[in-house]
Amino acid sequence: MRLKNKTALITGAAQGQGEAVAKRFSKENCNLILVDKNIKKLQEVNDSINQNGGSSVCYQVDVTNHNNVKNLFDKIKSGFDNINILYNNAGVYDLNDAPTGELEIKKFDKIVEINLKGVFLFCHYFIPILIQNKNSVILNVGSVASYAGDMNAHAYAASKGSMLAFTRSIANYYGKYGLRANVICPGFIDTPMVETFMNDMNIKNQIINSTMLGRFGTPDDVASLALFLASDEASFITGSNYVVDGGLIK
Amino acid sequence: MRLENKVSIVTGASKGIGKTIAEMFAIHGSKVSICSRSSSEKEGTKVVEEIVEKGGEAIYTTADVSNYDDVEKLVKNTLDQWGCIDILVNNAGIGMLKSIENTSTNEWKNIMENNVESIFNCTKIVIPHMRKNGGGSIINLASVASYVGFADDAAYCASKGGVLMLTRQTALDYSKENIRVNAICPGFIETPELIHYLSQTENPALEREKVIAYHPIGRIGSTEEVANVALFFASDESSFVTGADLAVDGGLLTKP
Ligand SMILES: NC(=O)c1ccc[n+]([C@@H]2O[C@H](COP(=O)([O-])OP(=O)(O)OC[C@H]3O[C@@H](n4cnc5c(N)ncnc54)[C@H](O)[C@@H]3O)[C@@H](O)[C@H]2O)c1
Repeated sequence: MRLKNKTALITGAAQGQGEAVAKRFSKENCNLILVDKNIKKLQEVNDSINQNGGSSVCYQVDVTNHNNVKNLFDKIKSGFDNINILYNNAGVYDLNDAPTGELEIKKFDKIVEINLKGVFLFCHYFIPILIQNKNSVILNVGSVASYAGDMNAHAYAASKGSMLAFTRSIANYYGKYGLRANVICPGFIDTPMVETFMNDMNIKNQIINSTMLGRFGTPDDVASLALFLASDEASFITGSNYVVDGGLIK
Repeated sequence: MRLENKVSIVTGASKGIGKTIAEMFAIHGSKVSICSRSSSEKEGTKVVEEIVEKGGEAIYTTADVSNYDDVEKLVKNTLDQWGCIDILVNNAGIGMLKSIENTSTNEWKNIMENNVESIFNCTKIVIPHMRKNGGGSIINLASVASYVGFADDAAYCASKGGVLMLTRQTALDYSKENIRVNAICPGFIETPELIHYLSQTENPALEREKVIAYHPIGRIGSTEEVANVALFFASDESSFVTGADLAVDGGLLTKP
């Protein structure tokens, strides 16, 4: 029971890594507040957790919508005054993302709004709750693109690179309040986000061949790392970033 | 029990971080083979006795890991006892506070032998046995000094930079055989080594305050907090993690 008596707020929990993290946390006795813009799928995840003996509530939230986030905050601030874990997982890898010269400004805005501003909004509203406990943690999701950039998806690379500096800033400033903040940087993880890569045998093999361990990661591989970083076992880890990429070959 | 039935070697485990890693691994069901130099044989033997008293399995070998023959003895003892090796924690290492000009060639060699060549020895000798066993996990103790320089700390910083790169490189060569290699980069941790370091300074109490202030989290880390990372890297929970490094530094590296 590595997350006993803790409550986690997880964004983008309707599928993929967010869903796996929610289910894994629940197994470790964590209470959950799940949000996603896709309420139908989110409700299914939520129900399945509760049917398996977990404790979860869910809300439809578009993380880019300021009012949505503020309303969520107003709704849950009294009921959940002990949120210990904020897991900013919601994010997009947009297939219309492009090299900078060809990238539509509107597209850029949209990707950065989800992957950066969405994370900022959640941190902005929930840090005051998190620091009421002397022992809270924010986990933001970067990517291997946070370090290496991305050949084509320039807006994605920019937004994911920003996670590193943003998270370090939070760690540096809020350390004195006992708040830890770290980045999880996944490599290629088998989720709906990379379905198009998985379905193209050429791309799929290319990715597998450039991974030391010779496979895609599973959402549960990410959940294992998330669990470690969210638990008190990681109590001296802050401002750090951690890759779970099977060893990408440069 | 996250390491049930696994066989681990932890080097330099008579005190400090290595001792805590050995104890924690034993609690999680691993059989642990530890070593230390002859000068700390008594402490090392005691670590083993305490593990066994609590119902764990452990053996002790007197071995200086900078000596190839000693490492062969350590590995042989482990295999004689349990027949295989799943986990290697390259923890043994030493520090020295000197600028490059004040470092003699022998002092330089001594740091390199103890901090880098020791990992070369252990890794080289253990890998064939991990291969036979279908894989394994190697964990190297690097440092925040693998990323940033510290004043008057030339040889140590260079050696820990080397440990980080050796970690990445070894991960690349052996991933196909399911041997994962990762590094832990601790900030300042409450160990006998730290107390020794503080005692060498003019005003240890003041120096301690300074060290604490390096960490945004406002304190020095515990050996348990480092051992927790080793446990993660050693267990199957990190099965998709190799060639990685993790700072456990209370935010030290976020400071400009
Ligand atoms: N899958 C990979 O290979 C990979 C690699 C590196 C990083 N990542 C990152 O991991 C995180 C999770 O990705 P995944 O692979 O599980 O992807 P996914 O597409 O399967 O899941 C993302 C979830 O976020 C939700 N979401 C998207 N925009 C939202 C918004 N505006 N408001 C609320 N919810 C929103 C989606 O509805 C979905 O449920 C993302 O931040 C992604 O960028 C993924």
